[in-house]
Amino acid sequence: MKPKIISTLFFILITFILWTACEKIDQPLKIVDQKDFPVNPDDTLYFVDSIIVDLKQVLLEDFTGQRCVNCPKASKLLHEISDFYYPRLVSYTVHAGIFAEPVPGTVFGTDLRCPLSEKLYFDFGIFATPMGQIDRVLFNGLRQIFTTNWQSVVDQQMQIPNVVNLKLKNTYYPKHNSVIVDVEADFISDLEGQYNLVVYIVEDGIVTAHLNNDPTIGPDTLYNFIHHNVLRGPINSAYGDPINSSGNITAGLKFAKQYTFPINPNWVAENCNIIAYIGKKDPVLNLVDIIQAAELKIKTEQ
Amino acid sequence: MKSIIHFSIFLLCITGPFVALSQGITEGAKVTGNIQIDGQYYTENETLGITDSSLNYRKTGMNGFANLLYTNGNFSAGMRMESYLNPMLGFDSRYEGVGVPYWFARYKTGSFEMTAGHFYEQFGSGLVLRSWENWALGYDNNLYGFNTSFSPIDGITLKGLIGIQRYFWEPYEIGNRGIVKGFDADFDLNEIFEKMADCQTRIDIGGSFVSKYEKVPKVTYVVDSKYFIDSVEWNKQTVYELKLPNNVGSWAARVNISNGGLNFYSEYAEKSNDPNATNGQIYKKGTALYSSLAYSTKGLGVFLSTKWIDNMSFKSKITETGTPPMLDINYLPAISKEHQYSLAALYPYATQPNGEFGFQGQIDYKIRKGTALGGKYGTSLTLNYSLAKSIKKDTVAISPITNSWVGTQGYKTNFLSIGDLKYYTDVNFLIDKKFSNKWKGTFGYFNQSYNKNVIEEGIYNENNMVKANIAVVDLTYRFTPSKSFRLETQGLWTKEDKGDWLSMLLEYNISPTWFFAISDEYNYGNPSDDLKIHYYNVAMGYTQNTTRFALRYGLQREGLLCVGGVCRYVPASTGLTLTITSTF
Repeated sequence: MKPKIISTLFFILITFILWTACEKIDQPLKIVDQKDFPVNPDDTLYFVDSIIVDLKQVLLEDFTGQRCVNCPKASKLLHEISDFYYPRLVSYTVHAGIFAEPVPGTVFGTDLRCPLSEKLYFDFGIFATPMGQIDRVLFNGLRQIFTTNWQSVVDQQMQIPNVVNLKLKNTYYPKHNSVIVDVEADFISDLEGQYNLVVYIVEDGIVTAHLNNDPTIGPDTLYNFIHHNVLRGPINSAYGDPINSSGNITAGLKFAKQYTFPINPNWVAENCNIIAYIGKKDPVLNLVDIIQAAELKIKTEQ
Repeated sequence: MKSIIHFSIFLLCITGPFVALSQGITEGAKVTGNIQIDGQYYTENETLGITDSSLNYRKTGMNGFANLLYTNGNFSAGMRMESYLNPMLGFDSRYEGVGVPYWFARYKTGSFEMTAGHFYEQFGSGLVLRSWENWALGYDNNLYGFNTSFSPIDGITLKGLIGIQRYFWEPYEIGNRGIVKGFDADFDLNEIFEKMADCQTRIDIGGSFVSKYEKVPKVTYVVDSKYFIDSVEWNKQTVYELKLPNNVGSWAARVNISNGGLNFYSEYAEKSNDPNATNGQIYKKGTALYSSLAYSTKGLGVFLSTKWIDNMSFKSKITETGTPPMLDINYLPAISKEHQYSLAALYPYATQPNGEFGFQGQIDYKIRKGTALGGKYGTSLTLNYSLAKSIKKDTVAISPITNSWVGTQGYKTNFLSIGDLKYYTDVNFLIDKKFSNKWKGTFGYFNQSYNKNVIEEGIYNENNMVKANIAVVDLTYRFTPSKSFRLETQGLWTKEDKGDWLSMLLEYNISPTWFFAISDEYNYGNPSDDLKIHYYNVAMGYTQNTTRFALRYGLQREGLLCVGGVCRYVPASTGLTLTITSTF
């Protein structure tokens, strides 16, 4: 019987080896690449830039107005803090309120407000300018933070460990003056609560007049004041898109979104920046406690 | 050429020991061989469209081979040299060249047999593996590698092989064809089980598995979908990759039961998803069933066979097409009769691997001598019927990605379902009668339906069905035991294709040395007057011992040459043909 056993085993072994030597393919066609681009071949020229933020960055919202006499000083302070923490302090200016209203026929005729800035101004109950919100956290029981406390609150927020990495990619199509924004959030810690991803567009380097009462900065009217990162509008919405629908986020969660945004022709695209941040949903104030922010300039040429 | 280098090493290996032990090389050794040389000289023929340029400025063609076989006890070695200088008309131009495409060394020890080099092998009826060669067809798919056979006990035969297939003269490279691996087991139950040893019913079962590995090409499809954002038209472009299997497997199970003059054989085979050029890159599995039943007794023979094939083209290169189809790993048996008479063979059937149902029945009956119908010498009657039809297919939706059936299952079918489309039918009746010591004759009638669109063009409809009636009268008169005269007349009548034909052959034999023949095939019913051509031929042959010379001059009509359902297109030609065959 021994040869029979050997031959049977041999048969089974060879059959098994050969049986495994075939591939059953249930889905013959699989996606290997996907991209969006303008149809007109002339429109396919684009410029890409991207950034990955893997340290905690802080968001400072500077509520201001061009006829706010104290605001140039606040702007100067913001720059000093920003330079110190470069590039970890992300900021934009929110032109809203009575001092942001333009005065037609004067040097203050340019309107730097937008519906979003007015909404934020009123939603967060801003009662004076200059005023800041830093990561929209509470300081002394308030989220509105006077300039005198900006440094200390920024210092405090900079010490918070990072919980989410944020990747931002801008693809700009000059022909259509449009930008495709890809945002990817990679959570590295467990978090409680519901979080939203917000993406805004801001314009830097707008030159208009500004009232001033700080002689160290200049005369009462600064005719060529350079406004930095003026909030122009939302890429998605004022309070963004939900990242999680349930109550918690588990480390390892990846969230990616792509937005296509045509840039207003009145804006200077090469001066525009995209700002993305993640905040916690709040039943009253919509979105508070910013946990991460990123900023990336729109690249408009090689 | 790599094969020559390989063969030189091989010769050194096998002759080296013989040089060292020179007396061993001749002791018990036997060397045999044969040679065939076919040479053609072409001439132009304006009517047939044969010009210098259509001949590619070749005045001659020559195909030749020489087989050499050395045997010494349990050891044997052999080789075949081939030359195509240039390949004769109708043979693939990629054959051009000279070389040794086939050599082997084989030894047997006990119940173990090993072949290294090139070899031919067949599992069962060939549904999953058959490597074979046919010189006239220009077909050779020999395997180059190792082939083993092992019989652990009486009644069990195990075979295993691995190799690459011949592809003209092209050396193997990764990606230009696959590697074939196979295993077969055969169990003769009467030999294995003592209780069945004396049983009159003999049962043999077997199973095979064959797998192919091929580095497949990368195929991608691009799908665009347009959309607008603020009046700017954008395109979402998605790239899909068609995932082709690197490994394709097939298996078969068979049974053979015989009892006296009765023999039943059946084999079922399946093949895993194998998108290829033949099946239009669909992912449906292949299925095949072949069965035959034969009964013979004195004076009577009955043979029935049937097959059902679905998507069973299995090649070692997924992009391979062509006639004859090269790189076939398997063989789908033809069950239509191959006719020896030229007009009866004018419309031969070619197997349709993508799906066909076939049936063949044949009755051979010999009317006993001494009866009224049998006469003094008896009369042989042969009635044969063969049918090939489509299988029933319900198509599935095309893929929106490939905009075709590529990447889909292609269609649905039920096992053994038969479709409505007829591919081929052939009813034929032959009477073989010896009238006297001097006279004998064969009389035949054939009725054929040949779906030209399906068989030649791969177009699946009945719009080009050729219906032909053929009659044959073949008479031989023997003057003396060594001298005979043969008259063969044939007629083919059809309203389709090239119309009616008449053929006549006169042949004079002086056995065993000389033969002379003149023949003419006249296409008198061709719809075009210009093509009502006499395809005349004059031939003679001379045989000396085991060497035969044959010379023929005339016109060769175009057509399909089929062997076992595998076909080669033969173009029209005119000229002189010399054939030399010799064995030793």
